[in-house]
Amino acid sequence: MKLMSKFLTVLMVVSLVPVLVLAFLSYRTSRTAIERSAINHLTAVNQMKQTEVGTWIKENINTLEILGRNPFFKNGFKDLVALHSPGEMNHYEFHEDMCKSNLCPVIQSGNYTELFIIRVPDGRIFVSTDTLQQGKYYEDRPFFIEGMKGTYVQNVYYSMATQQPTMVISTPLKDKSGDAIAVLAGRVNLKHLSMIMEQTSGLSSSEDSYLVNTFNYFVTEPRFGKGFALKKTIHTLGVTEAINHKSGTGFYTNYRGEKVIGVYAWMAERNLALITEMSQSEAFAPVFVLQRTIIVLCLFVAAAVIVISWAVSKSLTKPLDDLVQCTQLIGHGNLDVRFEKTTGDEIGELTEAFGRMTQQLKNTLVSKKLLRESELFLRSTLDALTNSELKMRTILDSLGLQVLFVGLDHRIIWANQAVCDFVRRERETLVGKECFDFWDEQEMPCLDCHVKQSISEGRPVIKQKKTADGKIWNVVGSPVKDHEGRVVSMVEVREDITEKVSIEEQFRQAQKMDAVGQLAGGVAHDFNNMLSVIIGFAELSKNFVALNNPLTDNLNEILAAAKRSTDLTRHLLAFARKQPVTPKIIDCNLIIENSRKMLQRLVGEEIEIRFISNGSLWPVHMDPGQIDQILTNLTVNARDAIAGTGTITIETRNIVLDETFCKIHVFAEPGHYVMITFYDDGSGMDEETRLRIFEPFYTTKPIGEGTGLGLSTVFGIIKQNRGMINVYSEPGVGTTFRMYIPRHGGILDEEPDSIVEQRPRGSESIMIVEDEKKILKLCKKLLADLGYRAICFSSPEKALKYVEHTRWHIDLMISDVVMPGMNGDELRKHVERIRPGIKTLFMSGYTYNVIAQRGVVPEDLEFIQKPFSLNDLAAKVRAVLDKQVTYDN
Amino acid sequence: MVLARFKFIIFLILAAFAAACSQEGERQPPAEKVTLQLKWSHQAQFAGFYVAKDKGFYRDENINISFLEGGADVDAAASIMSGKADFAILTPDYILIKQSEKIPLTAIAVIYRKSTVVYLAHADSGILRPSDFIGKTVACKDLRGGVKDFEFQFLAMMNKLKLPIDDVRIVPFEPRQEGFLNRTVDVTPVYYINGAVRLKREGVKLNMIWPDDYGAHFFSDTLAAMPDMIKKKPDLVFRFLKATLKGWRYAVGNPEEAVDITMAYVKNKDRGFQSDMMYALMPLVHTGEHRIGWMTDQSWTTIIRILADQKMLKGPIPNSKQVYTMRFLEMVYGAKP
Repeated sequence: MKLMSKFLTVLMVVSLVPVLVLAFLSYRTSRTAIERSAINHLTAVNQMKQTEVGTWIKENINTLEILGRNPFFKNGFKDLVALHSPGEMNHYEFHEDMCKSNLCPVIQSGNYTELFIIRVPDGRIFVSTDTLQQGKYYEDRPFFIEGMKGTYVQNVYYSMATQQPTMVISTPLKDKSGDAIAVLAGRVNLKHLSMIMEQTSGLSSSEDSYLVNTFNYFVTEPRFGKGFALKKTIHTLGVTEAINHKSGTGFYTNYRGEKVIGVYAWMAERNLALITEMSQSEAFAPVFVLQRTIIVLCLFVAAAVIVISWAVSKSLTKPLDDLVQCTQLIGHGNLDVRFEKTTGDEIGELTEAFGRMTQQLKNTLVSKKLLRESELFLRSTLDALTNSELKMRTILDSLGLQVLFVGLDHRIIWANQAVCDFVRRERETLVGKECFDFWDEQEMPCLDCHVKQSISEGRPVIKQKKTADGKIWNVVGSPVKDHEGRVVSMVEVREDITEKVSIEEQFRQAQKMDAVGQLAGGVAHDFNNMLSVIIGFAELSKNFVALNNPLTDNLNEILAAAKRSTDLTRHLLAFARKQPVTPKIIDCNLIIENSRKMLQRLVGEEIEIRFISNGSLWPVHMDPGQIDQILTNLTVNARDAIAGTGTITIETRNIVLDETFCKIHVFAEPGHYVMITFYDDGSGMDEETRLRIFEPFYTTKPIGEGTGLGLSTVFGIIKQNRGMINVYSEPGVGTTFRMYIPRHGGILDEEPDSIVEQRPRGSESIMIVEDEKKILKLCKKLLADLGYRAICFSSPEKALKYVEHTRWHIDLMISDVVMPGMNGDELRKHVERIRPGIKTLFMSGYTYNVIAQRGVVPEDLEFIQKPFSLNDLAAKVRAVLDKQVTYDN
Repeated sequence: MVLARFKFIIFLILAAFAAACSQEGERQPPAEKVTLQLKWSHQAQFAGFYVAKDKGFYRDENINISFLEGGADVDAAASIMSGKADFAILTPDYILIKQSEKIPLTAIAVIYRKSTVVYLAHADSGILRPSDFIGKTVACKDLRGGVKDFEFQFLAMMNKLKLPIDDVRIVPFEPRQEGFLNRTVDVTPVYYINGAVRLKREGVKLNMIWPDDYGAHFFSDTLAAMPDMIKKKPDLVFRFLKATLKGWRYAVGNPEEAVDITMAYVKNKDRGFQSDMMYALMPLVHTGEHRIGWMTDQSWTTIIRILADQKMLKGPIPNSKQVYTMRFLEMVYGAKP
């Protein structure tokens, strides 16, 4: 509730309640007073009228009685009456006399309208002031019957004779003896009665008095109902009560539906009810005026109260409202509100105080706001900084490099986690230490201190350092400059590159080996071709020379040299991983066990060869001869290194290489391997030697004793089988080779039968395709010697053309693999399309290359490695021809 | 939803109506049919009955009233005797004559306390009283049975005044008073409320000679019932009378409204005439001396005596007590006159 409303309410209550109470009391009092006075007045009027009516009737009675006592009626009247016979008509004069002399004066007085004398006993109107009425018989009329006995008042009734309501008073006319000789009757002039009723006291305009008979009929005309007399019945409270012979006052609705105050009285003597009424609205008019006045007064008071309270509260609440509004504005955060002092009272002071308070609040809030803003800014900056610092630290800690922050005085300002981990010290203990002290455990900075250098040169200095533990460090010193470009500190980044250097070395070595292999392979290939020619022709020549011919020896020498050359090239090809192999699924233990005797023979009795097998091995897919070759070469090497008594140990085991291992050994691939460890307790070798031992033609042996191809071959074989080799050696202790051969998922193959040396023959048609004409010529000669029909072509195109046009049957095609224009395999496909079922034998000094490029060796692909002997060729050709052909289509 | 509610309300209304009807039925038997034989054709003469019907006073008494019109050729007594009507409006002389013929018609109330029969003479004729009839022509001779009252009231007056009837030239009554109007007839009886009103309306100045002023005290319209009815259905008689008198009181108190109501029944739609008739009849019905419908033994005795004098009653002269009963009037008004 607002102050104004409160104020208004209080003021209203305070002012209106007494007014209302007062008004009500005065209203009550005045109403009661008025009521009382009205009733008193009405009662007075009623009683007065009763009296008047009574008096009036009494007067009339008196008049009549006095008239009746007239001596005229006593003397001789009896006779007069008796004489008057019904049929007699001549009595008018006398009547008129009588009227004039006795009755008429009474009529003239106005109280009676008619006076007449009724003869006893026949009821004939003997004489009347109204001559018309004379001669009528009223023998049955109450006023006659009763009038004979004494004075009688017949209540108001409707007279057919006069055609109006009438009241008759009658009194006997008696003779001297007291007998009634006639009845003197008079019709009362009811106008007087009406006048009595109509007369008002003048106090009230609605005052109304009327008479009602026992039948509830109006006897006199009420003031507001002309023609009601003896026509209208009335059943109001007052009438009902009065007819029941009661007198009193009442508030009720009158004959015309108006609320009245009524005073009613029963006039027992006259059998009439006298009702005096007054309309309540008039009676209480002063009360209504008072009521209205009170209402107006109340309204006025209320209005005045409203105006006053409005004015007062306005003067009070206006500043307060302003204040409230201002404070609400402040509440909404508007501190720029101006408090204006409008009054000089306490409210004005309050306003002023609020103004001061707001100003102070504003000042406080502004500084608070600024403070908060800067705090927020600081906090966010701090957060950002912290984040950044954390990020930087995380980056630096995760870097894997050792990062040091070193001051100009060599003292460590900060070090990253890598540094802490490396020195196994807490970061805090590092700070403040001199770098040379804890890195190099020196008392003075290093002579070539990069810190110094970097500071003096003002640019980063990169150096490699080898520490006492053999580790190689890459150290980068970068000067940190302030905004003026002065070097204020230095960042030192240290990286352990020992492993990296080693891996790089391995990589370089491998690349070198590969290059050498390529070279060797290429030389060997061409060399093989030439050797094939030499051997071929030497053998052919031998056939034409008798055994005792001295040329035979020469030819044998040529053949021997050529065969040695063949071995040499074979070694080269092995190193170059181009050695033709026949891989099988084998158990290395089995192969090694079989080779042991041969190896033992190789080293002699001075050296013991041990073989340790750690359980059964996984199968590997490898040419078993290659394992022999590896063992032989290693054994020979070891024998030379031992140079006296010693032991060679061959150990086998299954091994799984994981990622970690492969990271360190750059060429290693993770997976399942069979590891063959071969070590001797020989002289060992130095680092330089160790790095070069797999290079072809590198040998430590005196010139002529070694080919320099032994370990190269081992390396090549291992690589050819997608394996790995690793050497560890210490001078004076011995050397260890570890070889890893990948595990194979297949089952072990049977040991092949040894091929019987013979030269099988045939008569089939064989087509030879070879771009090298000498080889072509040799092959033709060789095959012809074996009984075959050989057709030779120097290019695949020519061969294809022939096949397309000839009708000759061709059983076998022998083709070189690498030829200009079209390779052997392509040719085969073309030919097979034309001559399905034709068999193909490839020959190549390169065969492995072609096959290797394909990724897998097709099972049905037959080939013969150049250079081949006559026996080799004969056997292979026969084998191919005899092979059952199974084609899918 | 709305439909359901509507249905429910309809159901409630019907249920309430049914309940009201059944209660009504229990409390009040079906309205009794009552037939009233009127003395003449519909006119303001019977205004009180119409008012009682129209204002529902009969209905309040659980009476379903119907009126049988009378007329020159309607024998009202036959109607009530045959049971065609339950009540009839008859003249007292007729009742007495029937009584003397052993037809026990019983008066239960008198509506017209004064006889409406009046003898008219032209105002300038000098005929003011029955004695003036001597040597004059009076058109009171009975045409048929229905207007005997004109003749015997004349005779009663003349006898009362001991006037020589032979000196009066009696000619047949003319309903339209042609002879009276062309002055071949000096005196004509009329029913005050009808003939006199009509002539007055025609501007004829009249002297009125009331038989009542000359010893012929008669009533006019009297309500009569058969003794069987009174005996067997006193309650119905009471209720009928109560409603009837209420109607008459109301009519006298509110003549204009009574005329309005009457207009719905009458054939003569001249409202002025009906209104005049209404105002004419009011003093006859309500004299101011007694309550409406009230009877006095004195009156009946007088009538019997007059009729006996006229030798109009065949057989023994009935006792007044046989002719009327105050039982129902007293029930209606209490014992007060």
